[in-house]
Amino acid sequence: MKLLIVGCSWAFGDELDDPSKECFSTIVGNRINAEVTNLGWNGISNHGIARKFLESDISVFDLVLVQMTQPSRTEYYDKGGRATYNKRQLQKKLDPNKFLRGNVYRAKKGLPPLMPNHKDPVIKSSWENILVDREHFMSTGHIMDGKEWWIRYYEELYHDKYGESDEMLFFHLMKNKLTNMSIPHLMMTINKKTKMPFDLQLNKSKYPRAKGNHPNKIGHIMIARDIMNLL
Amino acid sequence: MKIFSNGSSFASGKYPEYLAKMLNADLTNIAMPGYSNRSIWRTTIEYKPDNYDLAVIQLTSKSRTEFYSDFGWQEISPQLIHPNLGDKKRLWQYWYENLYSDEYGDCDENFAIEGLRDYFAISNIPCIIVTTDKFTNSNKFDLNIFDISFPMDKTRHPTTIGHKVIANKIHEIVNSRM
Repeated sequence: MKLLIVGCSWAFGDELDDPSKECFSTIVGNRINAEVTNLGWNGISNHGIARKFLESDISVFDLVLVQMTQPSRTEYYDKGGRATYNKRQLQKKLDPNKFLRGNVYRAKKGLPPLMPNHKDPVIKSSWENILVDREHFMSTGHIMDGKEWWIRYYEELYHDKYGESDEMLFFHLMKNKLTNMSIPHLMMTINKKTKMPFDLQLNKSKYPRAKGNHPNKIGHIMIARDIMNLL
Repeated sequence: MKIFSNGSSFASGKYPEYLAKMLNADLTNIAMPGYSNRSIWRTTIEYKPDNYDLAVIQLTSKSRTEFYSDFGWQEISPQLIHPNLGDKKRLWQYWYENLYSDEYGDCDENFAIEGLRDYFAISNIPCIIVTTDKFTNSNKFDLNIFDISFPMDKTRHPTTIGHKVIANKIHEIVNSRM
């Protein structure tokens, strides 16, 4: 049996000690004896979730969990990797000790530590997540009249109606495809204000959180239990 | 028989009517000039067409998009000739010059194709999707209108005869399917 999950950091298991073992999709997978493919990605938008969903061969899965995210997020294709470079530089400036904390995680996983002079991965074209939450998530280096274009996008172009329509379109796209292919599925969201008929709302206070507001280990166990009740 | 049609300026012309006549069908056509693939997909889902015998959807240039403003939904294309753009025009110009890519357009085009096909499949409505994007990379269309020869007017839209040629071609596809 094969289980696929698509979603953002909630699906990935951000802030867990070992996401591959502790996140809710793994717990569900263990209970139904399924091999889990977790395409959860930190910071991804509904646009990105739907893109990854369509890029996957979903016909090989027996159960698909779709976790949609905040509708204001978006993405664009960063040709040449300019945004990756800029975000990397800014993150180094904002959080110079990030690589040291990364080494704590690497030590837990039995990986050798990165040295201060380690080389960053090669910069290449990729899909770039844009989040309104924090400035460095919008720092792609595209400056227009002295201001990052994406900040202006949220200030001058983005409207809640656009986000709502994105959510509505991607909800139907993924749900209709899974229904047409007769693949059992659950639609979940972390958008508290959604108007779409999701099967499960994950952004509830009953699920205990870690510091960064993601569900903690117990939260993931509780989410897995609620998913099992729906299956 | 009932036909649902949506699309941009090509579908706002006469070919859907000619096709409906050939099939002796009633036509609902919600196409609007300037629509982007996103607008065509969105307005179709919002309209909720569920009691039709055939859907004919015309997608358009993948670089077009839309956004929501005080004026309602506004269409955007690289020509940036739309009314009411005001000071937003420069922002969109920057988008097309620096941020938009073919990969992005291909992705959005694919969303619209897949979203529309599955929507109509759920309702058991046969669906024909054509495009007017000459340079599409997608092989999921039933017809690229620019693969057929038809006369165009000065605005590079089909003449009356052109619309009849397009309707004939879509009629052929309908006959091969139904």
